[in-house]
Amino acid sequence: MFLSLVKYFRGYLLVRLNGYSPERFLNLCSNHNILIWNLSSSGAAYEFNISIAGYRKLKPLLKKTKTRVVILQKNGFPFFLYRYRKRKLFFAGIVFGAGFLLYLTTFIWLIDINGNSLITDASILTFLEENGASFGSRKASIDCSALEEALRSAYDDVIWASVRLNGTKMTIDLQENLITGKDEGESAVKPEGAYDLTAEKDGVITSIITRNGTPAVRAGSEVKAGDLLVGSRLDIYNDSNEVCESIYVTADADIFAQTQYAYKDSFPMRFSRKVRTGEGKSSYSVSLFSYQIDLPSFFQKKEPYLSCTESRQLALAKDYYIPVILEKTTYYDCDYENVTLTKAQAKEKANENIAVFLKKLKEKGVQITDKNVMIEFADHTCSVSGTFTAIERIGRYEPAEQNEPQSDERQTENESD
Amino acid sequence: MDSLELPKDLVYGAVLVSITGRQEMLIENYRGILEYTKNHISLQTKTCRLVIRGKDLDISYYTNEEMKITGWIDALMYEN
Repeated sequence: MFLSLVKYFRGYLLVRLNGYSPERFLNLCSNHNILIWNLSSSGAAYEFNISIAGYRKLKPLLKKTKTRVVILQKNGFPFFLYRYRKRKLFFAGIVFGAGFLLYLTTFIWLIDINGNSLITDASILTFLEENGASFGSRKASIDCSALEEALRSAYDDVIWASVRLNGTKMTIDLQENLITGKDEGESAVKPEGAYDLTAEKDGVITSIITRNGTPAVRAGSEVKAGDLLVGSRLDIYNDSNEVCESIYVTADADIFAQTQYAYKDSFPMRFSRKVRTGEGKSSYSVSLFSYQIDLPSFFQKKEPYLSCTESRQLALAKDYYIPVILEKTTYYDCDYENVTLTKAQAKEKANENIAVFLKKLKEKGVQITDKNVMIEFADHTCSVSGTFTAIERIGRYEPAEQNEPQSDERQTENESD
Repeated sequence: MDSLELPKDLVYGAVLVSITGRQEMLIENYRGILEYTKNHISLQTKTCRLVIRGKDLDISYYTNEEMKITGWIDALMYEN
């Protein structure tokens, strides 16, 4: 198969050989490494295939053996080109087509975003559009490192970003600040100047390690949201145990507290859902750039139905995507079915919901120490309520109020000096 | 010579013939074509001559080392 393809592209001839000693000619050919195939004898003459290059070398051999060849047929790509050499538009079309494809590869036709869980794809795509790096923008106009910086500064949660261009595909890899969550992510940055640490929420302090500042609470003390935990004022006492000077610092401490999370969830135990019946029917559409062309479908959609769309973007090669997207939408006939959950199933569903809730807390760095959940069934409704006891980091930076009297005191001291 | 267990085609320059069914034949280690017609192919090898008789014999391809013959093979004979 492959060999015949090579032969086709190189071009070959079907020739007829006449003469005095054809066998000698054939032996000479093999000695000169001229490949001959499909040799057959028809009476006095021989017919065989030979490549164009081989044919050019035949002349001295023919003279030596006193034979003659006649070309019967010309096959292959070079002859094809020669035959259609006057069809200028055809060749122009090939050149234009190839050129157009090459031109298309200088644009972005696929954007791949990885690593985002809090920020949605749509939000990043809108951001990219505002920065002139969206679907269909020129590759040359995109500055990857500038885009990375813009991403980092536009989204506080993004702690690392990488933008790569491979072929016509732009890959954006993000790393989000998942450990501290959004609110803490902002307050976790240690500000400069005089700042107190205050409680974010109600709780009982379990441990406090102060690095800088004056602690106002100790392990075991109960705090309400907004209470001062670590003050920013450091008093400096003189020998007679009087405050002679106060300096203000940024409070810094690891404070963990036991907090409570209330949990409430309820869902109906009786509901209706769509159930697929029978085979689906498909309709197809093609998207070119942003134009969608629906191919005619030969069936009527019957309500109710479930639809399922698969889309595929065409690519020239790996990572060389072109703006042609094929879509296949399959419509399935369906019926409404009433479902009643048993108590066990409802319990299972409730537990699943709780697990999702706890997982979210865990991602924020909250440690769950105690669970207390009640599941009740009433009126075909399953209601879940409970509290979770957790240990988590509390403490938020708040600008400190600097007391005026202290500065007065300092002034008087200065005067005395 | 036998105790060395060398391939005989290398040592003696012997001809190798493999026949697939009745319609295909691959000959290696031949020297040249002596005669070729539809019903008769005669080849020179190092030690002897090889004669193939049949009907509609074609040579699919041949190079310096090997030759493939297709057609209806009737007989294969060695001549000195």
